[in-house]
Amino acid sequence: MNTRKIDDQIRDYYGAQKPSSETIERLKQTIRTGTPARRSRPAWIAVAAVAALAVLSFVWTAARHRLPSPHQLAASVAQQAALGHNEKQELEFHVTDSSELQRKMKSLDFTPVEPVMIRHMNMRIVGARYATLGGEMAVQIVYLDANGVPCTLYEMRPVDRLARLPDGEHQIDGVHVRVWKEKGLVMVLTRPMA
Amino acid sequence: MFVFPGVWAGGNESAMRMRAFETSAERAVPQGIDTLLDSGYRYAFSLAHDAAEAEDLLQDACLSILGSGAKWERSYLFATIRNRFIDRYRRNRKILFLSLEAGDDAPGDVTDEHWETADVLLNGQLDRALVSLRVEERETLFLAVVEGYTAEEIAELTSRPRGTILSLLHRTKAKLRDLLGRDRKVL
Repeated sequence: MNTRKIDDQIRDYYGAQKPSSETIERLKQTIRTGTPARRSRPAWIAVAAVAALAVLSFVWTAARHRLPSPHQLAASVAQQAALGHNEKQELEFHVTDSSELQRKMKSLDFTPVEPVMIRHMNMRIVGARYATLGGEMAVQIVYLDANGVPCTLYEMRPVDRLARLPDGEHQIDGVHVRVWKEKGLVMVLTRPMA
Repeated sequence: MFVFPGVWAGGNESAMRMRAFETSAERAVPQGIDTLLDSGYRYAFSLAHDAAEAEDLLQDACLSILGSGAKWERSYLFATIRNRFIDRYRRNRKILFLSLEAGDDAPGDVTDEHWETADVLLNGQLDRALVSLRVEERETLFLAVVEGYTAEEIAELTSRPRGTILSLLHRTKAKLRDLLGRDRKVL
């Protein structure tokens, strides 16, 4: 029987594993341009996407007649914000100053700002991550208040239905949620209830 | 206590990918990038044991390196791939790396085992055996045998004690030998 050292066979096995040439080219293009190149998808994905789009259009048309009221929308956004606060997801950016965040978070379609309230409450910024809230791209910023208690601030642009979001306060899952607009952005601040 | 570790956990990943790294200037592709990408892919494959997943991990890691402006070095690429792999599994709430303690069995030297077996590559035996290994076993085996990492280097990359790595590698090879032997009997 033909025998070979197992180490050699393991090397041969992994040596035979290679990314596709398309992947290599895509990655090299990404490195050259700094812009991620899209993957080409098989045709059936395109067909499935078209079918899904048709179904979604139908559902959307039907749903338009049943859009949530501003208060339902606010409750939903507050619920998501409370959940996001309680989940305590890991941060991508650790900063000591808000301006640092503005420099680092280049993938947002708006510039994160520090609301006046944060300064008045003497909160200290910890860091931030990309997030979504109410279906829109948002930044989730974590602050520590004067007692070292973590608070989560979401900021996003008031586009589409979020433009109808009313200011208000909510109490959900042990979290106090405040919604307001400032400097052209929707602000949602969540803090643990005392 | 409220803790936010330093590893990014996702968020609006697709949106970020689409908008990230927008720049008009073209950069030069670093020398030896093909070899590095091949190497990164193989390491990702040793973790995921799935071609599509390995390509995704490699792409994520490359984007992360581009975003951070870090150098294109193998050690950094591997560490980034590993972090991305852990992130993905955390998100899916899967058990990934089990807690490892240095066992009682005598650890063999990383490069000391040269046992021979019938050609297990030909009929997919090795593939079946590797997929039966735990992630940390496959990863350690790959780093030691394929990449030629020392136990010290593996310990550094995986944040485990050197003794644990030696023991793990010893046990993994014994397990692999057992799996291949069992497979042959079945055949």
